[in-house]
Amino acid sequence: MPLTREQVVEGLVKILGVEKVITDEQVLKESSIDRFRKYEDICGVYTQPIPAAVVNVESTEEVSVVLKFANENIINVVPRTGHSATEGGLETAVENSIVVDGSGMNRLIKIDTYNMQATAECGVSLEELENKLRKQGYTTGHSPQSKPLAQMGGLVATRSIGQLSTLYGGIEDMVVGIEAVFPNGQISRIKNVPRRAAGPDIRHIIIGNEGALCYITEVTVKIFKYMPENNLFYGYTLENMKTGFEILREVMVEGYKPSVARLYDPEDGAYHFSHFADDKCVLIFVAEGPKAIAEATGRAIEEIVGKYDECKRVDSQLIKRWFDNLNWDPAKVAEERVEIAETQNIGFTTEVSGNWDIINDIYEVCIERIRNEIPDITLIGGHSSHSYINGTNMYFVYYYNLVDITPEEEITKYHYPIQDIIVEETLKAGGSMCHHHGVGKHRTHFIKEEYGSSYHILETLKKAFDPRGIMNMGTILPIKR
Amino acid sequence: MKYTVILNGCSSSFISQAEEISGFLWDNIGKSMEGDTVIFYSEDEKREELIENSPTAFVRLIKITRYQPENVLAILKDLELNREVDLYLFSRDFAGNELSVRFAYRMGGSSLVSVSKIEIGKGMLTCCRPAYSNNMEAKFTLRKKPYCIAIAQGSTDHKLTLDTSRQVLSEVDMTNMSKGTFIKEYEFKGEEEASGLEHSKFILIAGRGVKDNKKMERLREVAKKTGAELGISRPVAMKAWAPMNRLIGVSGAMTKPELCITAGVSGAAAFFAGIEKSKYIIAINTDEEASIVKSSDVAIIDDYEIVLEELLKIIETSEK
Amino acid sequence: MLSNEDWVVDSNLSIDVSFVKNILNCFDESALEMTLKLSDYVKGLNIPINLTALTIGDKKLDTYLKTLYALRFDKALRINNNEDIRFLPQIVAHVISQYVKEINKQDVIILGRQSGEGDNGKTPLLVAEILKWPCITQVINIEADKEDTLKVTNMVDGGILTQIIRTPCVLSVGNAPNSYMRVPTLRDKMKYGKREIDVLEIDEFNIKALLDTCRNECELKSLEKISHERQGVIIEGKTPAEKARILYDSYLKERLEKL
Repeated sequence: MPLTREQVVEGLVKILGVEKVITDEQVLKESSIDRFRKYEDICGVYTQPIPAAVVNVESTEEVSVVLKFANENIINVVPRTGHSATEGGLETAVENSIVVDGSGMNRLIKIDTYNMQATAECGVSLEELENKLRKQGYTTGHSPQSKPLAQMGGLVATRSIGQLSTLYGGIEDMVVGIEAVFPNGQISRIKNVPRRAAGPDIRHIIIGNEGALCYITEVTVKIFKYMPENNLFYGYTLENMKTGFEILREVMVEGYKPSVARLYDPEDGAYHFSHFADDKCVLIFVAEGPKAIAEATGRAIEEIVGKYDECKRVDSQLIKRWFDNLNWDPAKVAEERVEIAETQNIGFTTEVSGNWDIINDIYEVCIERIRNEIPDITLIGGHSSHSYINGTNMYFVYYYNLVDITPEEEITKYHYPIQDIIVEETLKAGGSMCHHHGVGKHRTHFIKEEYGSSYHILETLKKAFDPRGIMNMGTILPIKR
Repeated sequence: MKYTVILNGCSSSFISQAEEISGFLWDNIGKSMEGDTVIFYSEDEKREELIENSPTAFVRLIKITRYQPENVLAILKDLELNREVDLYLFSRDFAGNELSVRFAYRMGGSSLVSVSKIEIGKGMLTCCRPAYSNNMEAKFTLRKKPYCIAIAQGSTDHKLTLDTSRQVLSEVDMTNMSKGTFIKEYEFKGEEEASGLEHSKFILIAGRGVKDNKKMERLREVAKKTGAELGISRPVAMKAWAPMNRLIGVSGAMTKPELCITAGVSGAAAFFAGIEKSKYIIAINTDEEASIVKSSDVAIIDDYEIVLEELLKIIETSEK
Repeated sequence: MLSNEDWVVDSNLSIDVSFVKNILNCFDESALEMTLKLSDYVKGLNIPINLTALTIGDKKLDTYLKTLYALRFDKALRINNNEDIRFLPQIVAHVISQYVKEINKQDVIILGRQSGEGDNGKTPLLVAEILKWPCITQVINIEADKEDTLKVTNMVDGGILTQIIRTPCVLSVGNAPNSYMRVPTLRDKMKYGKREIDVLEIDEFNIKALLDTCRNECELKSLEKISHERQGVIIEGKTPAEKARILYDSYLKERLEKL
């Protein structure tokens, strides 16, 4: 017999005390979703099963006993920190779930500037860590747009990436060691060493697990010298995405590492850069690091781009201004709700990746299909924002007017069909369906196709670490009905 | 040089408008010029109060059926056409803004609205007012009389009333004036006292430094005793120690109080956006490095609980 | 959008804002959405309505006008101008009223109450004066009534006024509860938004002499940054009680009394 809602709450209160177990209706409703369902949220319509409780854990031990309790009684657990997820990873997909909120575990344990690493509990906000580091002349090098909201545990759990990734890498390149709790209550710590060849890199079982295998309680990340005074900014307008991809490729292949390397198509470019884009594509680079390296990178960029006549350089001030406002402006996040409610116009994104030889095709076919197949589209565009030696990502941005729908139909009429076109075309071409937001709960029907024969490994991980299936059901792997 | 103040006596905020004009006169003109005040009004029972609160000793009264800008402008023009007045001052409200510009046009003079200070020169008037959405202060020289100026909100700290007696120079009854054909029907709805955090003048905000529900309860009492509305930051809201409608920040209320005290709030950007427009922010936090400290006007680095208890004692004894 | 270091005033007393994104100012945006709503409503009553959008400025503004075409404005017009008229609302009002008097007669002129640069707050009022039309300020809602009447709601001191008025008139839009304009679909952009924008030159409106007069009558002398930065003064004291006392005496007492 599964526990009733009341019994779940009772059990949690026994473990944590009444103060840490929240059953307030509004808190529970808001805890049943993330930004994937922002329209339902704005409309105050909550369609997901409402969790039994949100628990505020304050230590690794508390996480351990809560997971053990859930595991013994087969109760779904959704791990959460900053609540800035965008792909449904935080939705409570089954009845009587427990949302385990680690945002109260917010001790910054150590900034070690000799060994160049910082250790933080899962609830430390990235912004807070970054600001503290910068004051001492260091940086995490991690700058996702969600920086004002996101916290360290969630960032690692979703394989987050920042806007400076081309130089600093994604979070997987930054994480040194981790502490995580598994469903059976086992607390595992992976030590902080420069590298080791002592079997598989087990950190990668934890990084990107999206709460479907374990609960991340503490992370140690590398830190870097912060030298913004050396930053150099480059911006160009150009006619074709294809040229832009060629240039990105050449910069990477020639061995340069700008921190920012971005290419916007005209629609997305007009959205961000209407003051200079002039309905063209926009290419942006930032060179940073030690002065000599930044300058050498800058010179190479100028040289490489210089070979393409269609690129027109814009004032670097324009790019600097943009760079200074990289992240979500909190006031704008608040304004967005009002804007959506008033205009009935809403936007989302889907991010994929592919090797150099397919990325432009993916871009073209997706834009074409969405334009033709989806009604009420007001903007469909995108940008490449994270490049590698063998390829790059494509971040599709789409807005649509909501016409003749109930709040819950927003997803089925618009969001799903658009996302599915992008994922289908990407997989067909041989790319990956998730570049950096995680799988969440709405791309799981493609997961087997994404993994192919390696799906076996993924499935086995789930079975091994979460044999009773209590960790964030429906995330990464679909719920078996 | 002569000046005339134009005030709308039909407005419920007449007294504060008059006080602000007095303050503006005190700050900018002093006693160097002679002036009078024209007051439009419609209710006889208010007549005495209006006269008493006039910002100048000399008063001219005009009785109308109701404040309607088209009619008031027509009356004003007839009244003032042949008077040699250099400067007209208008209140900072909607009426003052509209009248100053339109009246100036009809009189062949020049106008500016939202003026925070003026300086009288020879054949000119120098005025300051905000521009670029309140990011810049622009200084202008006006050279065409009469200068018609609507003062800015909060342009003076002096709210004062004259202590000399008032003298009514003239009274005109314009209640029989033709109503014109522009307006077919109208309906007026008085403003209800706006409530809720968004409109609150004084907010006390609890952050994650508030450790349990009991401490929250105490904070609620402190807020009540000091006359503050209680707000909470997201970590507190998610613990459900106070209802979600108390939440301040991007997912809650975006406030603009005169006074905001934060207790144990760290000041994350998503929260701070919700109090950014406060006139004055006082932060109490144990961590000097917390970002709220730098974003506040004044801060105490200490345990909020003890500080607030001490503060409450001081406030309560000083009220007695 | 501009950070502190960006507010640089040059020798012509202008500020370079070219490196930040342009947006419609909120009053204009409200005014446009109100106009579109009015148009929807009137069309529903089968009363003919014709919408013209007029702006004064350089080519950069065409993108907004194209959007308005896509949202089914009947005519979009830009009066090309390179003069600095930020602080000369008389010029703007002169051009608008002359256009309405001589080129394209209108029943209603709807304007935002002030721009985000000049912050003059005068243009709609001056248009009304020049045309000798009545004016309603601080408009927050416009509804259709009959063919030559409108139901207009505006904020007045102490409350909200709803009036049924006869056209012609000038409506100056204030802090309306809705400040966002709808977004046209890609299809409508393709279908309607590709029309050429009408362009007239501001010189055709005989502004030369008026420019000099206006500049002399109300001359901009200086622009200075207003500091909005908070000081972050940390109160020094030995005990919490002492700190609370200092806070109260030096910073709080007077502010509490003022509330």
